[in-house]
Amino acid sequence: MAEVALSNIHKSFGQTEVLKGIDLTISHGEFVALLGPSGCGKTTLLRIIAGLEAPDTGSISIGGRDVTGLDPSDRNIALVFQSYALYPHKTVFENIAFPLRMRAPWFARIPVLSRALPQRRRLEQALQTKVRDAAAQVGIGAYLDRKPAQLSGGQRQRVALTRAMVREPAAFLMDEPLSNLDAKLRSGMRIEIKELQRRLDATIIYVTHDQTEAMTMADRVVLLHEGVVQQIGAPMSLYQNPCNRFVAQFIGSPSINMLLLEAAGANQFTVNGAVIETVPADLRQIARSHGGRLWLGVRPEHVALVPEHASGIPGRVALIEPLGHETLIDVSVLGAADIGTGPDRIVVRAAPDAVDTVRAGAAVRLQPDWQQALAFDEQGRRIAIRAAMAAA
Amino acid sequence: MRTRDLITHAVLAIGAAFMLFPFVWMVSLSFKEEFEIYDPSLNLIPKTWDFANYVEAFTYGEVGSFLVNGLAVTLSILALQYLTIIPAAYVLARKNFRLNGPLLATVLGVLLIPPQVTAIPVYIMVSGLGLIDTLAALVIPFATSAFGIFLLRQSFRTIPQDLLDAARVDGASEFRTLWAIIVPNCFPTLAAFGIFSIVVHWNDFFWPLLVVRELENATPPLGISIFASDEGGNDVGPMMASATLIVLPLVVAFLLMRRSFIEGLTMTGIKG
Amino acid sequence: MTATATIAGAANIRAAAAKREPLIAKPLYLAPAFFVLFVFFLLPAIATIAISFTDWQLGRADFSFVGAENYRALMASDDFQISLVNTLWLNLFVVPLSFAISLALALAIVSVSRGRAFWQTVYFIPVTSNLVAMAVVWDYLLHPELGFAAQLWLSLGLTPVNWLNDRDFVLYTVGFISSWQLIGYYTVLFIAGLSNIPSTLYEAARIDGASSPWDRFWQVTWPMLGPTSLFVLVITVIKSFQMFDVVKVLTEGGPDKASEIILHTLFQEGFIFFRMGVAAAIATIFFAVMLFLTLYQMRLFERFVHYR
Repeated sequence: MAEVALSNIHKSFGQTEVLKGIDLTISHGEFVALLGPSGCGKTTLLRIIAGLEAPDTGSISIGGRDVTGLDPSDRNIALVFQSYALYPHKTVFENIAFPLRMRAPWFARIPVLSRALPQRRRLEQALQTKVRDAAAQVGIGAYLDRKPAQLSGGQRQRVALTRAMVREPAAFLMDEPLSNLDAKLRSGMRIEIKELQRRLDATIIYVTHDQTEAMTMADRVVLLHEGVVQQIGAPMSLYQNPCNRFVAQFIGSPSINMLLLEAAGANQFTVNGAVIETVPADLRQIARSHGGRLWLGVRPEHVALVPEHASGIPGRVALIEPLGHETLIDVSVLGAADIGTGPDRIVVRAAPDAVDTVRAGAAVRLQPDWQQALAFDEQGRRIAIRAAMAAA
Repeated sequence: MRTRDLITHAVLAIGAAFMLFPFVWMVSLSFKEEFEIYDPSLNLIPKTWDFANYVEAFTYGEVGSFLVNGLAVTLSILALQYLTIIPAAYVLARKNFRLNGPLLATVLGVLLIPPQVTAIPVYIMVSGLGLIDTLAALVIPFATSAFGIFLLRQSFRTIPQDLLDAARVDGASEFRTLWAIIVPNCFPTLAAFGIFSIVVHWNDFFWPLLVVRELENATPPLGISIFASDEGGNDVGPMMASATLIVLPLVVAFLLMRRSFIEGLTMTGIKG
Repeated sequence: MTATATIAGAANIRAAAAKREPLIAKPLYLAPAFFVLFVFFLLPAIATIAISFTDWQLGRADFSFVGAENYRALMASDDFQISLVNTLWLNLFVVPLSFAISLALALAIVSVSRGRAFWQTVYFIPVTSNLVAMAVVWDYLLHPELGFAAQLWLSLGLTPVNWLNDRDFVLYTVGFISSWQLIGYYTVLFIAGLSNIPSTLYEAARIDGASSPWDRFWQVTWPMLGPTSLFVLVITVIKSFQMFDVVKVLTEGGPDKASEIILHTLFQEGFIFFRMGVAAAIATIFFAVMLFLTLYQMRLFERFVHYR
């Protein structure tokens, strides 16, 4: 029912074009994360959906109704702000009740006089029940008489959520709602918001710069960069099947290793400057058809660390980061920096016990799992290896 | 949206015209020849620009001596205030001693005393010292400022102790640390207080009215009030010229240092 | 055992440190400022209160304590009552006027997207200008025959009013000139308060259904501006009680005491009639009122600053 559809949204602030034609449809009950680095336009897009900014071109429809020119209060949406934007002079109860009061029929909004009306008393009772129920659901029923300043960050967050859900909006918009909480509280709130969404069957558009939030909560992730949608898809598809180099590098922590494959002679190939014999035939062929240069993205878990005498890309262990459940090993690629033929750092995701076997400063070699490599052309576009092979 | 802005600007412009009209009229009259001043037509631009009023303001009105007195008095007061409040604020801000609390309470207590309340005894003291009708009488009672001490103490407390320790380790004496490290670091507060002090004492009327009799010792506000009551409405041109000369310095300074002025005069809101 | 011992030890050390704290530090740094504070501020304030209980007159060597006689006389004096009523009446006129106009100006200045600093500057110019000099200018502007206002009145077909010499108008004229000077100051305070209201609150209110500016003003602006408003209100009251310059220069309390206000009465009693005891009693009453207002204002100032 409450489908949110954006078509061809453009927005500029002065000379800067912030959004360059966004098309997006969010279906009812869907949790969509708008993800991207700061300045990518995700918050602007959210504010345009909310009606706090007007788009230069394009249209927005919510639940099949064109709302492009409507005031925020007429769009039937709720917005949870990064700063919560609770009214400091109102109690928790009045904060939550505010959207209901503002939507009450005109006769109930006349100060003082309306108190005499019987309808008003019934409305007030309904409102009381609604607010108390909603507050109880998120566990802030005990704080209804307090002022926001007397609450902790997590409690304020809950008040903001309750204020958003109490009037059953067509869609929830959330602007980095967890970024002001500490790490422990944040992971708890992630689960709560997700559960809330399931219970209310709510449509949620959630802006974040934190890929963990996007990946763990969203049904679909919209990755924005420089005002353009880079890719839309389920969280895992963005990780496994990025459509360009930006997506590949943005999703995943630590981020994907980029290797430069270059044709060095008749049948010789270098990877980041080192002659490597093991490059498979299909990658060689694609590289040749792209002018002898090909960027390969290899996730840290797809690189093996082998002893110095084995074959592979030569390097030196720069840093060992034991994280408990795994160990990250930073290897600086030998010579790469001097010849400037590619990134000089490769990160390897290894088992926890690698701490005991690997020494910082040791000379090592790296063997990428070529089957898992993602290929990109000079412009950063993804080259589907199978399709490229089939075409050839 | 844009039309609403335009309407707001228009309303603000009408209000501003009203606020600034006295200045415009003052300057306009100050350049008019005598016959034109009494002309009932309301020309803002003088038909002939006449500087005779300014010449007369200096020769008969002694506006030159008001300005010199005003400058001497305000700057002497400010210099004395800086010399007394900086060391006192430093000790109150950075030293632990048992009288610190009571002394600070004294400073805050003085903040509560309006200047008109102390006028009678201070007048008696000043006249007892034989200082009536001297510039010293205008300066000495204001040689320090409780408000300045309080303001500066708050500012001095924000300087990190590390910075002072570093200066001491580098071999600076306490005296040097105060004047070479602390004072420059609190420059905005000192500037704001300076503006506040200059504006207050340049414009002060009550105290000069009590202790100055002779025109030659008058500060600008007292001078123009004596001038106005002596000559009455007869010498409008020279009087407007004098008013212009008295108002001009602070208005020009304000326009040049808009931000510091507004800050200096509003953060001092605590001192009514 | 050891833990208790350590805690007790720490307490001892702290107590010892407090004991070792000197009575005074750097007396030479403190002396000049505090000498002046005592001699020219604290002692005179106390002396004023003391003199108010005497019949001392300037130039006379002898005086005697008369108890509360000066206060009784003041309360019984018609002149003082007129002065008091005028002062309060002036406040009733000046305070709401300045408050409403400066709030409206601040709201207007904050609402425009360009030119805030410009308007703020323009309206602040009278604040920095010399009130005595400007009173002289106003005097001439309001001159019943030659003044600009009279000419304007005539051209509108109205009879010119003798603003500063008419019993019915003089107090309002004086209040008007004083307000003219200070409006910009209050406006700047309001602007500071308004700029501290987070814009997200207005956005949240819009989304929550407060679609008209009227709703947003009453639901967000007015309650959020509370501390600022109170602070400005108290300052306007303080400034109104302190009015003196315009009255002294333009009316001397006249005509027929119609613009006689408390500080002018104090000046007259003390420095024209040299009745220091009576003047000191007026000063003491004035002090009490100001003390109350200033203490209240200081408390408000903390909240005002806290909100920024």
